[in-house]
This record gives sequence, C-alpha cells and structure tokens, in this order.
Amino acid sequence: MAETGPETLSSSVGLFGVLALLVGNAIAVPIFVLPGPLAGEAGPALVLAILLAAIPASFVVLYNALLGSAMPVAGGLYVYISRLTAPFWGFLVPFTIPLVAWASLLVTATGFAEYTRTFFDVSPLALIYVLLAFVLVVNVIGLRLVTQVQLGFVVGLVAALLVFILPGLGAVDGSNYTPFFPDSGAFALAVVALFYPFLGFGLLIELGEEIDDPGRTIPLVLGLGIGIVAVVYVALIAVLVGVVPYTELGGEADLALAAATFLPWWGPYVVAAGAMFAVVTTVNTTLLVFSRTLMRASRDGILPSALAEIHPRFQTPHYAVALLGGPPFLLVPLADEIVGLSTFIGLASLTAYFFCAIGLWNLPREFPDHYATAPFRLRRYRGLLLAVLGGAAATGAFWIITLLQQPVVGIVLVGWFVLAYPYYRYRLRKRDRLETYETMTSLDAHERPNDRDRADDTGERRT
Amino acid sequence: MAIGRYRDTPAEMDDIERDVAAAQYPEGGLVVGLGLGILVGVVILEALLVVAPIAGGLVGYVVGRWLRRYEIRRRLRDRQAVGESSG
Repeated sequence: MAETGPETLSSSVGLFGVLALLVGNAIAVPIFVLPGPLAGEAGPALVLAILLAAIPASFVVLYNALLGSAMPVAGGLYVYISRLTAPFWGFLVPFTIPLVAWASLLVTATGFAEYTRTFFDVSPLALIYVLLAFVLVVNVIGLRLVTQVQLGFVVGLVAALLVFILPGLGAVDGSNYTPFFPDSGAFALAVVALFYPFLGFGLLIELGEEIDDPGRTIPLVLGLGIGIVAVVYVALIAVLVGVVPYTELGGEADLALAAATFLPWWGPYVVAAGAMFAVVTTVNTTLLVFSRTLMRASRDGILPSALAEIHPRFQTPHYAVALLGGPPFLLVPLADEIVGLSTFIGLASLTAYFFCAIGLWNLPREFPDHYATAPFRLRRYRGLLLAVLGGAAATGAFWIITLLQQPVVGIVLVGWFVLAYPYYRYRLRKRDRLETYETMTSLDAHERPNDRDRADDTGERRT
Repeated sequence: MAIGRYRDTPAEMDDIERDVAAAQYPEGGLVVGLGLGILVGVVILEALLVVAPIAGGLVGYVVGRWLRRYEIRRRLRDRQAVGESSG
C-alpha cells in the first residue's frame, strides 16, 4: 500500500473553516433537538446531565488533540485503533459507522422536520425525506461546497442561540427547578444520550488529511471549540428547563415553545430558523466525516474497494456517501425514537473512544517518531495514564447505565460487533491475508513524520 | 504488548505468526463471549446484565488466546512434517 501512493482527497480546510465545521457540527443537534425529549423525562436535572456528559467529552477532546496532532490521517478513529491496538478493534469502527450515521441522520432529520413545521404546515414525513435527499446530494458534490454552506449556516444558528439564551436567562423561574430529580433512571440515560452532541469534536481527526497545518490547528481548534460549546449547552438547557415546567416538555421542537414564553411573536420563528440551520450543518458533516473513514478502511482492503473510489468530477467518495446516506430513506419509521437513537450513538462512539484511549497509551511505544514530533503530548505514566483510566471508567459507566435502562441499545450494539467478526474473516479470505494484516498495522508513506520536524533532545519542536 | 500481537512490531513476526494474528482469535472470542454474556442476562436474569457480559468476554478472550496458540503449534507441526517428508 505504502509504495502505491493511495488516492487522497484534494480539498484543503484552514483554521477558520475547521472551527466553523467543528462548532457548527457540535452544537447543532443537542441544542435544538435533544433537550426537549430528554427534559420531558429527566426534568430540570438535565442541566446536571449535560455537565456530566461533558466529562467523557473532555476525555474525547484530549484524545483527539493528542492523536490528531501526532498522527493527522484521514479515517482517524479507524486508523488509530487498528494501528495502535489490534486490526479487528479498528475494523469495528467502519463496520459500525453506517449504523451510527443512519441513526444520526434520522435524529437530525426529525428535528429539522419538527422545527420547519413552525413555518409551514407540511407533513413531517415529507420534510424528513427532503432533508435526507438534500444531504445526500450535497455530500456527493463535495467538501468545498460543504464548507461554504457550513459557514453560512453556523452564522445563522449562532445568532438564533443568542436570541434565545441572552433574554432567556433573565426570564428563568426558579420554581421550575423543583423537583430537580423527578426520575433518576431517565437522568442517567440522559447523560449517555447527551454525549452524542459532543461528538462533533471527533470531526477533526477524521479530516486530518485535509486540514492545513494539522499539528497546530487541531489542538487549537479543539480547545476553543470545547469552551464555546460547553458554555452554550449549559446556558441553553438552563433556560429551557427554567422558563417552562418540565412536564410540558417532550417534543423535538420545544426550544421554539420555550421561546414563545419570553420573546415577542417573532421569537419562535428565529429559534426555528436557527434550528433548521443547525440541523442542516449537523447532517452536512455527518456523511462528510464518516465517508472518509469508510474510504480509508476500503483502501486497506478490509471493506469493498468501491467504497474508496473517488468521483472523477466531484472528488468525493461517492459510493461511501451513498452507503451512509441511502438506507435512512428505508429507516424513517424509526425516526421517532430520538432518545434511543441518541443513546445508541453515544454508547457506540464512547466505546470506540475507549479503544482509542488504549491506542493512545500504546502510541509512544508503537510509533515513537510520531509521538516525538507531536506539538501536543503528555507524559506516559502521568497525564496519559490518567486520561486512559478516566476514559475507561466513563465507558464502563455508560455501558452499565444503558444495559440497565435501555438494554435493547446495548444488545443491538454487541450483536452488531458479533456479526462483525465473521465478516472480518470473510474479508481476509477475499484478500492476501498477510498483506492485509501488515497494512492494518502500519501507516502509509505520506503519513510518516517528516525528519525536519523531529523533536530535539529537549522535547521541543523545531521550526 | 498491544492487544492481539505477539511482539511489539508486527514485522518481527514470522509468516505463521502473522497469518494467525490476522485471524484475531482473542478479539473475536471476546466479542462473541460478550454477546453470549448479554444473551444469558436477557434470558435468565436481568441483574446478570452487568456481570455476565464481562465474564463472557473474559472467557471468550481466553479461549481465543488458546486457539491462537493451538493454530501456531499446528502449523509449525505441519511445516516440520512437510520438511521431513521432503528431506
């Protein structure tokens, strides 16, 4: 593989574009779609739930910053896990990604439909299909268009958020915060589900190959991004559960409902417009990120070769995009299960990041040159060990909560992992087994650290 | 040592070790054991949903490691037998 010079994507994204992609993708769904259904069950404790969800999210940000700056590659999680732990654990990432992408599309498309109905009395089903078709087309056309669309939408959603949060903080009624814990089980499940909104931070390492100066850009954007997003999440949920009694919440468009209680007549329309922008930015980047991972796994030979083919005109992995964007049209009947789908996404993703943490522990030993040249790194038996143990504890807690509160989600995920093993063996039989193993445990030539960037003995980077 | 490897660098493995490592027996055993553990929890007692998957995964992983060692020994024996018969 290394000698053949694999096909790579030609587009490039700078610092501002990456920050817009990251923030737009991260804040979209939780802010506008998830809080209503979750608050309807968990009550005002949702404010605490989002704070707890931020703990594993901060570990994820740390993993992304460390791995992204040491090994900026396309197909991030898959590459890190297969190269740094074992090929089969890495294979689970592209094998499970279609399920996560489909669930993500369904959640966000449902939210889009509900908020759009603030303006037009149209069938939500028709709106869901329209949005799914839009996402498919935009992602086939390519990253350049995606970035431009994303920047415009991010401006719109930030304006809408400010319109909701700033006046809303002054309208909070303290009595709406009692009882604070109406349902402890729903509260625990909300923590798992609210991890999903933080997943936009994984976008960075998936796009590593396409980011300008990734060693500097990735840690910088992650630090800025987590700060912005955490403040916005807490403020928004505090307003939502503070201006409307939680017993009146439960719908996907509840932010518009809440806005009507303290803003003039146009308030709900501004929030709904922001929600429409936000949902589109989320689905916009979902296929963009996931298709790159499928593409990389296909390059390695562990998925069918068609998934790595790049469209000659649009320069996108069009077959991979079709695999991710097509099946949701058939799965629309599941779109009402917002909490279950979000829990699935949160659990699957944190499990992947758990393996990522193990890979991070192995990184200084398996690829010492990469770690030595990384602009951002921790000492192995101090910071790195704490980061790994913290991620492991969070993952274990998520699994226990899910198996006790919504066992079907855990069963579906483990069942899918079990199916992955025979398919992995099948793929090995289709290829040269030794070559596939060697490819899945090594990096391409262009992903190796440049000698001139190698750290000196003091551990500081030369420029 | 990274999960599923015999030596730190895959390039240091011989062809038999690499061929067997590619099959990922311990990892496959772990997920199958995990799945069986959850099945036991669902079918027998919900309280087992926390313990049974962990136990199943551990047993599956141990069985996978045993299978990996067995496969390597078997292939080494086969190679020696071929060498002796041709020599």
